[in-house]
Parts: sequence; C-alpha cells; structure tokens
Amino acid sequence: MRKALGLVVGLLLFAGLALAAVPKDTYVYMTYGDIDTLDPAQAYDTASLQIIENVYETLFTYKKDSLTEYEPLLATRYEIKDGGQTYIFHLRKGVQFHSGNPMTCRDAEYSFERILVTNPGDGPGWFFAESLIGYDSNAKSALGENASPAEYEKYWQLIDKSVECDDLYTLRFTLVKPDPTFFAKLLYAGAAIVDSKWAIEHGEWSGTKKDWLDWAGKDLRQSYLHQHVSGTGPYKLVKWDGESVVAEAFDKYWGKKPAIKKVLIQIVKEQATRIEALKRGDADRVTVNDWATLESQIRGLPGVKIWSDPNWARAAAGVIFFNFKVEGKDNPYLGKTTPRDLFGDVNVRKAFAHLVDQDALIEELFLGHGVKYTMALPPSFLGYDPTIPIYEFDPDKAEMYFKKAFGGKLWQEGFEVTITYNQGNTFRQTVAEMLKANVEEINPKFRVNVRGLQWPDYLRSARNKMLPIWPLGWVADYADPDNFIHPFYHSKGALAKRQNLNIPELDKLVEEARATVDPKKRAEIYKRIGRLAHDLAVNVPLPAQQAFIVTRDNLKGVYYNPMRSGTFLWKDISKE
Amino acid sequence: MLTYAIRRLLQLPIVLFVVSVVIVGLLQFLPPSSRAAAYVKSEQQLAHLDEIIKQYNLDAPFYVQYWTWLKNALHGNLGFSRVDKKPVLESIATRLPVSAELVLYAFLPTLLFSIWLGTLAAIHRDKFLDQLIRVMAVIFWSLPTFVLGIALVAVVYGYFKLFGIGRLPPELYIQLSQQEAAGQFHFYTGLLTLDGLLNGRLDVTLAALKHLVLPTITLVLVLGAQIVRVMRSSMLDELGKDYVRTARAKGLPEKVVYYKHARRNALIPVITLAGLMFAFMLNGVVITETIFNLPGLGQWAANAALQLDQPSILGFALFTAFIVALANIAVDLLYALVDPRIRYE
Amino acid sequence: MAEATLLKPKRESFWRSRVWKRFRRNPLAIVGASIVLFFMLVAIFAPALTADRLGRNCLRDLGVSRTEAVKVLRNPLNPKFWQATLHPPPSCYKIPRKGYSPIPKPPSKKYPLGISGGGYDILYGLVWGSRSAFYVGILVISVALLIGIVIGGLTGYLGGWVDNTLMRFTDAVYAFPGLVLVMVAVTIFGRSLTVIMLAIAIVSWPTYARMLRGNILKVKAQDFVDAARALGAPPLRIFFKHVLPNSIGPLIILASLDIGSIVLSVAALSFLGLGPEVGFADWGQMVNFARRWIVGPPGEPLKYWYTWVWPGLAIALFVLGWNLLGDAVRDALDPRS
Repeated sequence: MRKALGLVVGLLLFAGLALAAVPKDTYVYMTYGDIDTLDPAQAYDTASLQIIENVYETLFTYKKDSLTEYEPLLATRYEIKDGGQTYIFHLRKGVQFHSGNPMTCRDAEYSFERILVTNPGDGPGWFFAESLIGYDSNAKSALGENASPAEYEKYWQLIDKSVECDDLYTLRFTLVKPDPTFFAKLLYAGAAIVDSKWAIEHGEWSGTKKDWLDWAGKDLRQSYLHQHVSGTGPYKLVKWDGESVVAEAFDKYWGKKPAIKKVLIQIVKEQATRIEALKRGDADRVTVNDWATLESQIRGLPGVKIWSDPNWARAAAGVIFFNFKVEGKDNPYLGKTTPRDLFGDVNVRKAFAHLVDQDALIEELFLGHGVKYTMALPPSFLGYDPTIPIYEFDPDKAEMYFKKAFGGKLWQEGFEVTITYNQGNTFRQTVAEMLKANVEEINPKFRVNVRGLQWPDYLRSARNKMLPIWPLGWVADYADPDNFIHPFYHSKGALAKRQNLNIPELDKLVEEARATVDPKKRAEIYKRIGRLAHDLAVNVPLPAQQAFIVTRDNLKGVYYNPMRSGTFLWKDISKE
Repeated sequence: MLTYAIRRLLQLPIVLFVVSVVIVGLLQFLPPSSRAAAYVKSEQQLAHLDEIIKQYNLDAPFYVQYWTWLKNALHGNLGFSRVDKKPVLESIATRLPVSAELVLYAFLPTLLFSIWLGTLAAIHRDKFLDQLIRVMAVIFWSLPTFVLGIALVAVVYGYFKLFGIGRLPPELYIQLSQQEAAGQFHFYTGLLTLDGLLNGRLDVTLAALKHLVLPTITLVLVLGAQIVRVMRSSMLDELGKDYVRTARAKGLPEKVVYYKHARRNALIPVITLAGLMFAFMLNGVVITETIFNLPGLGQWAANAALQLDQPSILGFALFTAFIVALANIAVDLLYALVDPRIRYE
Repeated sequence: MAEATLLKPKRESFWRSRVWKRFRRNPLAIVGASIVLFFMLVAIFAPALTADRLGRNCLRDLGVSRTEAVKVLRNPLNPKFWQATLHPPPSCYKIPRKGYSPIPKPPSKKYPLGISGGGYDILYGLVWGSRSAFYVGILVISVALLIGIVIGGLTGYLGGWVDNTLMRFTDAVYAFPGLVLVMVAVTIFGRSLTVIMLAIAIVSWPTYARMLRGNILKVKAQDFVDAARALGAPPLRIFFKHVLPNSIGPLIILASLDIGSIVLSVAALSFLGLGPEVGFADWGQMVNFARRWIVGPPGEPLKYWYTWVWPGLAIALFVLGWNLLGDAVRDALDPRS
C-alpha cells in the first residue's frame, strides 16, 4: 500500500510540472455563455455571434469601435435609390470561401433568401423580413399551415423579388417601403454571406422554389450549417464540440493576414476558475461578471490588464415596466383588493419613479462606474436626448403623488403588489428590493413583495401579461434607435405590449419616426418620444454599468465596439 | 440465481418505461410557454413566443408528445438535445467518456484510500487515531464540494501553478483539434489518456492525467469520506464475531486476524456501496465537473434540468436508470451470495 | 446495513439500560449530542437572539416596533416572545440586507460575523439558517420515512407478487437520477422550501423501504417469530406485534440521523441556482453567496474568509454533530460490542 502511494505521489508531481503560457500566435478566451449555433440564419445570441462575426463576413461593417462609421467588407460600395426603397451593393471580386469556392452575387442572394425562407421563430430573421417582405415571420407561421398554394406563391414571390442579382457582382434589395433602419440591419453579424454551392451540396435549402416551403420554420439546429462553416472570414472553423470552439487563420483570406493564427473560445462556467486561469496565463482574456469582482479580485494582478473607458457602454437599455392593466385569473402578483389598473394612474408610476435611488444603485452595484439613462435608448444611438430629466430619489414627492393617486383612495386603503425579476440577475433583484424597501417606508399600508422567477415561469407570466411591475432590459440587434423605441414605446412593441401600454400619441410618433428617412428629423422625433415618455412615466429607465475587458497585458489592439459580440474582432488583435 | 438475474434484466425495460412516464408526466404540469424555456433565451425572442411554441410543437397534448417521443426512442432516436445543440445520443456519446475518465481515475484511489483508513479506524477503535479519522471523514464529507473544489483551484492550480483545469492545456487542445481535422489524430475512445497512448502520443496522456489530478482529489476526499465510515462500522462488526475470537484464541497474530480474516469479510458491504457509488459517479458529478470545467454528463443534465429541455432530461434519466438498475441487480445478487438467509424466489 | 436488534428486547427502564450506559460513556457521543443540542437551542431562540437585527418586514408582521423589539422579544413573559418563537412570520426567514454592495464587509461590532456579498448579515443568516436546517431535515426524513415504511412494510409483510411489483417500483425510483429529478421538480413548481423538501423526500425514500424490507426479512427468520407461529398466533398479529416493531425501531433511529446530511443536498441545489429563493436564511445559500469570495484580492488571498468560513463551519458542525450522534447510537444499539 505504501509503495503504491509513493508511486502515485511521484507521478502526480512529475505530471504537475508547470507549463509555459499561451503562445504568441494563439488567442484563448474563457467565457461562460453557451454557443447556440453557428448558422447565421439562426444565431441570435452573443455567444454564437462572436464566432460568426469572425468566420463569416457581412457586406459592410463597423469601423473598429465606431457605431457611425462603416467600412466595406464583401461589398465595395453601395447606392440607395427610389427614395430609400432600393439598395444596390457592388460586391468584392476575387473573394474565396473556406471551401475554395469563389464568392459571387449568387451566394449573397442565397444567404438573404435563406434567412427569409427559414426565418425560425427564435432567430433574428424577423427584422430582415420586416424590411424586405413586410412580414415578420416565415411563410408557415405568417400565413398558417393550411394557407392556399396561391397565398404561399405570393409570399415566395415577395422573397424572390426582394433580393436579386443584377449581375455576378451586383446585389439589389427592394424594400416594401423606404426604411431608414435597413442599412444598420445589414451590419448584423448574422447578415453574413454563406457558401451557397457548398451548403446546397450538403443538403441545405436548394435555393429554388422547389423545396422552399419545406424549409419554412424548419429546425435549423438539425441541419448542416448548424455545425459547419464555410464563410469568407479571416478565420476558419476547426472544431466545435458543443462547448469550445477552435478556429485557425484562413490562409486564402482576401484581406490583411491577421497576427493571431489560432483561436480557442472556451466555455468555463465558474468565474473563480476563469480568474485563476487568467492569473496563470492559461487564458488571454476572461469574462468577469461585474465591477465588484474586477475591483476586489482582479485589479493589481501582475500580468493582467483591465481595459475600460467611461464612454464604454453596452448597446442596451433597461427599464422598470409598469403594467397598466394587469391580466390573469387568480393573479399571484397582485393583492386581492388592489386595483388591476394600479399602474394605470400616472401618479402611482411617478411615485414609484421617485423611489428608485439611481445614485445608490450606481454607487453600490457598479462602484461608481455606471451611466444613467434618460430614456430607453443607448446613449450612443441616434435620437438619444441627454437633457431629459431623470426622476430623482425623493420620498416626499413620492408621498405627494401617492396621496393624489386614485383621488386619495390608494393612500387610505393601501395596496399589495409583487415586483418580479428573472432569477439570477443580481442587478434587477437589487432594484426590486430597493424599491420595495423605499415604498414600504412611505406608508405601512403599502405592501411590496419581491419574487425571483425562474425563466420558464417568467416566460409564462410575461406572456399572459400577469406581471404588474418588473425591471427588464434588452440588447440591441442592430444599431438603429427603432430597435429600442418600437419595442419599448409602441403599443404593439414586443415589450410594451406586455404592459398593456396604449398611448396613441406615442404610437403615432414611433410610426412617424419609422417612415422618416432624414436622420436629423428622426432624431427630433425620438427626443419628443423620450420627453413624452418621461412626462407620463411610461417606464423608469435604469442605469447601466460601464463596460470593461479583462486580458493578459501582452494582448494588443483591444477596443470596444458595443455592436460586436466579442466586442472586438480576432483579426484586429495581436500579442507581444 | 441465474434465472433471477435474467428475470431482473427482463424487467429493466419496465423500470425505464416508468422513469420516462414520470418525467414526461411531470413536465406536463408546465404550460406551453414555460416549456419553451429551452428555446427562448433572450427577451428579444419572447416577442415571437407563440411562433416558437408552434414551430417546435410544444402545445401538443401529453400523450401525443409522449407517443412521438416513444416511437422515435424505440427506433433508437432519443431526440435532439436543445442544451447541447446535438442529438441526445451524440451528447451521451461525447460526454460519457469525460465522466468515465474521471471515474476511472477517481474510483480506485477512493476505494483503496478509504478502505485503508476505515480499517485503521476500526482497529484503533475509540483511540485517538480512530477519533481523528472519523472527524476528518465527517468534515470532508460535510464540506460543500464547491468550497473544496474552488479552494483547490485557487491554491494548487492558481497559487502553486500545478496541474490544470479543463481536460487539456489550451494549446494542446488546439493542436489536437487541428490534427484531428487533418486526420493525424483520432479520438478513438474519447478517453484522452487512452487516446494519447493509442495515437502514440505520450504527451497527450500525461497532459490529460495532469488535468485529472485536481478533480480526482476532490472526489476522493468527498466520496471517500463516506466509504471510510461504512468500512469502519463493517470492520467493527466483523471484529465482534465469533470466528475472529476463535482465530485469536488459536494464537494467530493480530495482523493476520485483522487483514486476512476480518477485513476480507468486512469488505462485502463496502463493495456493494462502491458499486452504487460507481454508477453515481458515472452519471456525472455536477459540481466537480462545473468547477474543473469538465464537459461531462453531470453538467449536461444540470443544464437540461434548469432549462427543462425534455429530450435531454429523458435521455439522461433513461441512461442513469439503466446504469443504476444494473448496479442494483449486481448488489442484490451479491447480497444473496453473502447472506444465504435471503432467498430470491 | 442496519444492525437490527435481533433479540426481542426485554422491557426495562431506558435510563438503566445498557444502551444508555454505553452511549453515556462514549465521549464522541457526548460531543455529538452537545452540538446538536446547541443548534437546537439556537434554532428555537432565533427570534430572541436576533431581536436587535430583525428585518423591517419581520417586525411589521410581528407587530413589534424596532425600538421595543429587544425588550419584547427577549422577555418570555411577553406573548410576542412566544409568537415569534413558535410561529414566526415567513418574512423573518429573509436575511435583512445592510446595503446592496456586492463586496463583503469584515466583522464589526454591530455585525460580529461580518456581512456577506450583497449586504447579507452573516450572523442573522446562520441563526435563522439553523431553523431552516432542522425544518428541512426533519420534514424530509419524516416524509421519506413515511413512504418508506408503507412500501417497505407492505413488501415485507405480503411478499409474493406485491413484493415483486412494489420492489420494481422502488427500483425505478431508486434508479432515478435523484438530483435531476429534484432539479426538474424545483424548476417546474418553483423554488419554495416546501417543493425542495418534497422533491428530496420523494427521491430518498427507497433507501428506507429497502432497509425496512431487509429488516423484516431478517426478523421474520428469527426464532421468536417461529415460536410465536408455532404457538398459533395469527400472522397479522405476529407481524404487528413482533416483526414490525423490531424492524421499524432501528430504522427510525438510523433515518433520523440522516437529518444532518439533508443540509448538504440543499447546499448542492443552491450551487446550481435552484436552492431556496435568494435571501432566504439557508446555510447552503450562504456558502453559495461566498463562492466568488473564496479567493481575495491580490496579496490578500484570505481577505474575505468570514464569508465562507462561518456558514461552512455551521454546515460542517451540524453534519458532524448528527454523525457522531449517529455512530454512537449505532454502537450503543449493537449488542455485540
């Protein structure tokens, strides 16, 4: 027994000898998000898109960290015609796919039509379809499973006509109506050009009318492009085993050869483990959850660099939503005698708004590294108005509004309401608990409960419009204000719909902005929306934390572009 | 005895059937919108919830869903794992080797180490050594695994720069992936230590071993503690029996009495426990896998359960049930062998 | 492997029995009993112990103002004392937060054990956590035992096809991936403590059912049962008068000693994000809060020791106490030693 033990210990020590850090031509990034798919028509999460944006390419893209300057990628230039209804792209010549096939307009047409044909409900296709064919879902879901052949035919015609090749290197988009958001949508990493010849060979949609309906709403995660890539990007996929992704530089890339030749994106769920790997040099970059961890565990580590800037903010916005008229039988989130339209009264909304202590949130949760929002739009976006006032933390004003609400009845009878947040989101939980403490302080008859909901539960309650008040946010799909203004402020918007918001004036403004091509005029309308929303306290915009990146200190060329899923491209960095 | 074993094996499908019905039944308590949890990850997708429910047929009645699944399952298709983004069988096939490799290296040391300590404690009953071993065993057993695991990662891996996390060092993993794509390296078994040898790559085997050390230690400490306790009490039992007294009366040396006679018999309950523990470990030790970043069955199952990914949960449950049931049959047979008073008609 | 008392015990006073004598003489038994007793006292007097730091909602639901809380809740003559001790409102199980900062704060006069990340008072969490520990432990074991006794008893008594069917059912449950079933149940029915307890109980009863069945088979084979049968006693009477009591007794004692380990299951659930709701006084969750603070800042690796040492110690001691007690009882019951 003793001998065996000795042998084991000896072996362990031998095996344990330390190894050198990651080589110079290799980039290792440890993060936590599961990669969902590698299919550009399906990918709708940062974890997937951070791979796709490096192996595939779009027509145009953002210039480094700018959101307003673009550079040509697979297109060399573009023209807008017919008052913003037609977009013509001149494609780059001599570009090769990873498979060796040359890239032509045929591939571009196939890629966009494929998005429109398949358009899975959980994918990003809806915003392309909205602009190009006027529907926001695939044929089967938009027309129903049993529509007549003629109706389907019409739908196919829409798809077919909206994306056309004028010649081998000229791509033409015809929109249903002038749409100022369309160009921004083409910068989305999923608007990538896939290798049509290779895809069809491997059993993807044939690109013709023949089998298009079979592919409407088909589960793309079970088809070839889900796991395999042939793009034009500077990196080519070596392996994706469902967890980590390995990529290597593509030696026939048309552009500048990148300095980093090998990339490993590793999914490591436990933060403590990621930090130790960074310390040890096994990772070049790791995801760190928040400023608290950053300041208390990372800052000061030898060999580690923190990249941050007060102007870095995610392209995201979060607010506290109020439900103007809560629905659902036996609603567990509302007291029995509490009126269902509790938040239908503007006084109640304003009172709650005055009880959100924004400074405390920024100070305590973000250690001062936070940005306040005046409206539900990222400050870097067109139309953001920094001059709109923010409801200050003021219990006296809140009390005044509460006393005015429901003609004074609410103050006398009190209410009971539950603030919900999605379980695991510490920020939203803190907002909820803070609000609870502050509201209950005002009047002992006010009762506020806080409940964390599991995601499935949350989905159900949100869908049934059962939640009375909940903090929630969303990250931009594409860098256009409409991606925020419509969902947050239009009565049919994806988020506002669930709060039974119905303010005709807001709806009118949102629609007007959508139809306005001139950016200056659009910006003006958005500012008016922001101000109106503030006056009516439609929702309470919440502060967001300043973004940061944690790497080893030999990594060069790091920048922050909020529209990049990996916040920078692999090809732009190098190592000393 | 043999007929008993065969009969139990024939009953196995019934056990599996019950398991699947219970799980599918349980999941039916959810409204379709909640069942979409594995499909809808972000607020953006929420806008298209109805579409998603329809697309993936989530609102079909219980029996329809179950029947569809059962039909496919009988044809060897356990469905598509939403959390793993690949077919369930493929998930099991890629993840089992990860868990299995950990078990292979953790199991034997756990067993040997704890049998040794358990015997020692029993021999020195109520002496200091016994008290020490018992208290240590309870402490390691009661220490939440993640505290022990994170402490090991921080101290051994982070501070002393020994061993590694994950399955391989990043650069070696990249290299192997590239060589695999070029056909120069083959993952025959998925067990990296073995594949290294099969490919004639001792460096792979050694690196993989190095990365197994920390999770192995964690498992040995946590699971070993339980076996120590069983071993001790079982050994005490044996020492109190007549044959031991007889052996001592015959003047046999203490060592022979302890190790040749008593321990041999005391091992029997330990081995049955070990059998179950083996099955338990094979099914993934979620926490150890998460902390040391081993993409094994446990992590998969935990994700599936959190996101209510029905095919994955079912696939995992059936697989587990299968393994545990086999282990159970083995244990029952062992009982019968040991204790003739228990008969299986 | 249960040590059934194989001989039918003679009736004698417990305090004079050999079992008690053996138990008393075992120093580890005394240590174990003291630990469990200590936690019991802490759990019972949790409201009085934390009277100076109760949360707003807890005070409101108790109808006590903050200024008089200490005086009222530490005075056994006051009815509020009994209300708080015997039936505290659920809001008292929520750990009051001192600020929202994610960074822990070291022990201070007001917060002698420090404040965990998120502003949670560690002392409060530990004291009320001992209540949840007993609550969960006792309830899980009782439910599991109840199911186990019914099923194990039926199989042991009836035998034949009933035995076979029920045992296959038991096997099916036993073969269940316990953790996954618990996780699925908790995800479906919510993270309330009741759901967690029931889920754990439902996957843990088979052990007891099998144990009881084994015990019954053993006792049935004993001479005194044969004797009773030879005397012509009806089988039902033999079963309830002789077989069952001799099989159940040791089972209950052994099962109750598993109370300690239930805490560990809940802690594992907390790690996976499925424990009781965030902020609920539960040791497992408190260790989980501390998960990211196990390692301190560069140069001060142990800066946040208090976040995980205290709750970790509480869990370890609790389990240790029950275990030592368990071993001692087992030893004391063992007639051979």
